[in-house]
Amino acid sequence: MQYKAISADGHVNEPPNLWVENLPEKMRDRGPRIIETPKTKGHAWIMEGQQRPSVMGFSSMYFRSSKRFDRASLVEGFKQIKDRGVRYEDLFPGSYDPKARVEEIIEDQTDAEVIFNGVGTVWNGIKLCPDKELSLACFKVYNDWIASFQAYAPERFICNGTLPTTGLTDAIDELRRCKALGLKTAQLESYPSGNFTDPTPEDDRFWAEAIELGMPINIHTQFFFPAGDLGSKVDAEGVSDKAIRAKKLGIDVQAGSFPVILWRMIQSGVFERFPDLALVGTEVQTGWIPYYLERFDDSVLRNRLEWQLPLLPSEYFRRNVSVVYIVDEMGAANRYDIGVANIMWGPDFPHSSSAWPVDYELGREVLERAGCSESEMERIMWKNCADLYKLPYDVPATTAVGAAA
Amino acid sequence: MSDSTPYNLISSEAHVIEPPRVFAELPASLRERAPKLESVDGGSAWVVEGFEPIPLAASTTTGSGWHRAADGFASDGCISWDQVLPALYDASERQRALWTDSVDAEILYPTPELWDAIRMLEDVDLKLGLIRTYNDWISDFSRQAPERFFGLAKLPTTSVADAQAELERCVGDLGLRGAILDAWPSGAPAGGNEADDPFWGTVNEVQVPISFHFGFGPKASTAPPSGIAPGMKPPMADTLLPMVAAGVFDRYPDLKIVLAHGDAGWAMHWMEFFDINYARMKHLPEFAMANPDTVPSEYLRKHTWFTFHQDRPAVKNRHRLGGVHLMWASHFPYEDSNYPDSRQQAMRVTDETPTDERFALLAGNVARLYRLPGFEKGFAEDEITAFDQLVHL
Repeated sequence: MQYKAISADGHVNEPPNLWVENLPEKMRDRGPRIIETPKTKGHAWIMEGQQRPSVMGFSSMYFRSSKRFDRASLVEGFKQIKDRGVRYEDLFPGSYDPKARVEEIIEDQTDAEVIFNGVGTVWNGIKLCPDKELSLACFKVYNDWIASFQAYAPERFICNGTLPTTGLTDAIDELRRCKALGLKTAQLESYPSGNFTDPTPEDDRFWAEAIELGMPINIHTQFFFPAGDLGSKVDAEGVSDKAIRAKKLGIDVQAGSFPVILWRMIQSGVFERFPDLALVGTEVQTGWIPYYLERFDDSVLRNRLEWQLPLLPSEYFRRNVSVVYIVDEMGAANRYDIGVANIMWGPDFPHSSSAWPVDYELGREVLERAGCSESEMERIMWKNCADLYKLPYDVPATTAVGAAA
Repeated sequence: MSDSTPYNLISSEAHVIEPPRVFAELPASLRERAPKLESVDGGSAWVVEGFEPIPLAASTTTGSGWHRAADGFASDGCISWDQVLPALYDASERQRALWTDSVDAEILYPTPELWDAIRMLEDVDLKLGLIRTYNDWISDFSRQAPERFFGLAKLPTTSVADAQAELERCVGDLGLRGAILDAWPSGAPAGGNEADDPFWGTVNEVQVPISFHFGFGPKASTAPPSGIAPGMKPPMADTLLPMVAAGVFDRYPDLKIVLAHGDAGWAMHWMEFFDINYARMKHLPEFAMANPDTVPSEYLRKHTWFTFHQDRPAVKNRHRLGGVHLMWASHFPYEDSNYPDSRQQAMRVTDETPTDERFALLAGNVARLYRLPGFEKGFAEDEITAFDQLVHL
């Protein structure tokens, strides 16, 4: 029996006591913990060195929808954030309990799922932490836990290790350890050297190791800068105070966006030196890619004396890069200008942009509307993902949705 | 569509280079402080008080960056005024250049870098003087080939009243068919501020398209330190959403905005995603729109025109923008121009388009937008609003 759907993008929310219980004893009271926000009584993460707590919100809650843009559920969800905050007990238990997670994805008609960390929330503090030893220890605790999460249902979960931002050697060592823990992939939160804005030649040691270990490397959305102190309110004129504060701190937020990362990796010849490297941009969407590749190729062809690489940017993209989207009609309609083999469906469960439990139906609907053939739908909704993570096409009967339900 | 049209190919966005004598027309009291083209490092550069000298772009010697590739950029050196193609400042030379290039007509813009600096001057009288002098000059230039050259007015942003007065003068007395706005006339930091409403009122009355070019904003444009990745949304596009949210297009329904030199291949994805975000977050006060029964892209698709050059994704997805909203541009004489082979490039980028739609992209849309000779009727309302929506609510 074959897979019906594999989501290339889902998330956990780290258990509240994960670091309190598992950090080395001397660090425990300095690591991430949950506090209650004074006004809304919602939960927020805080740790040593962090000035503004990271509240649980859009990225850590979920509400059940009966269709896309389910108005009633959305209003309820947003009110919840605003009026009483989000507490751990509000979350779907599959956010941290693998047994519950299996039931949740089966309800979403999804057989298996590539799983990422909780993104903002606790990771703001871990990446912002001035004590690198403490920061590194936090990454390790998470990786041990996510490996045990995966071990509950290895035929269903492809969990990402999270790579430390504390330096190149730490990143390489942790990538090796993730492999040994049984993880098939890992997500970068910065360039391997720990630099958030610039690729460096020393990164090559990391790319070489990723190939050696046979691990695709994920970048989820962007390199989230240590954003815990940046906030994210938008003023009346549409200017986010995050942008203003980032500017004051001299942080070039755009440098960490996926198109910029991809531009600089292609341009600096990473994929020329490492033709077997598999890079995945997750939750980056796809509709922007045709024009991006058109401009990138055109600029290279016009200034060809400055372009020393043998292939065109679009050729490196199609050979080395995969992209994951939630819902993207423009991308689906333009799939041949992206590459059907480069696109993976990933509904971002249980974050608020997912349409659980109707993600699978919505995913099919978008591809059908774009005129995809059944074999193209198969590629985008599971086969590309199975190929990338080396999953067997024929799965044990107990894994398939029909059998489990 | 007119049967008698002389137009096969019209560039919706090309540039002139201001000859130094333009500013000689200024009143004597201002002339001293005006930008001057001076010799700097062996080349010519505009010297504007308080700013780094602005050298002439190397591509002004050839009309494109393409032909210089063989020498590489290292040989650019500094360009002096006598190396500049005369077609960039002399109307009769420009006509010959158009024949060579098989381009029938052009919408003309000034030098962005020079005007970025002028906009930052604090001397209001000087700024107004420079703008009026330029507008007089570009109007004279256009009159020398009135079916081929269509200069756009440059609008002052010294005050709302100044912008209104100059727009009326340019459209009325000078006969210009469109104008370029650099920043919000009221001095507001973002679009949609009510203080600018009287200006939009005048635009709505005189019914000419208003262009936002690269560099739009109250301050000089600065690229992020990481540089600008290929294929990204041009920064001036960010001015539009606040205008939509504030209901500017509801109050002034005949506004037509041109995003100039920015292509459109990025726009469909951009519209899809803010429509999705709007559909999800419209309950939050910061996402409120004056008219809640629509999505933001409906306004943009109706009120925005895009110029495009080498942008196959935009051509291919034109029905998702609205087919009449896309207009080919030569970008003459800048890096990505294909002069003197513009026609070849224009045909190549549209080569999968049926004949009538191809004509619209290459000449018809821009001719109707600016109501060029033979196209005075402009667009019918239902043509402007027709597009395929990407988001299914």
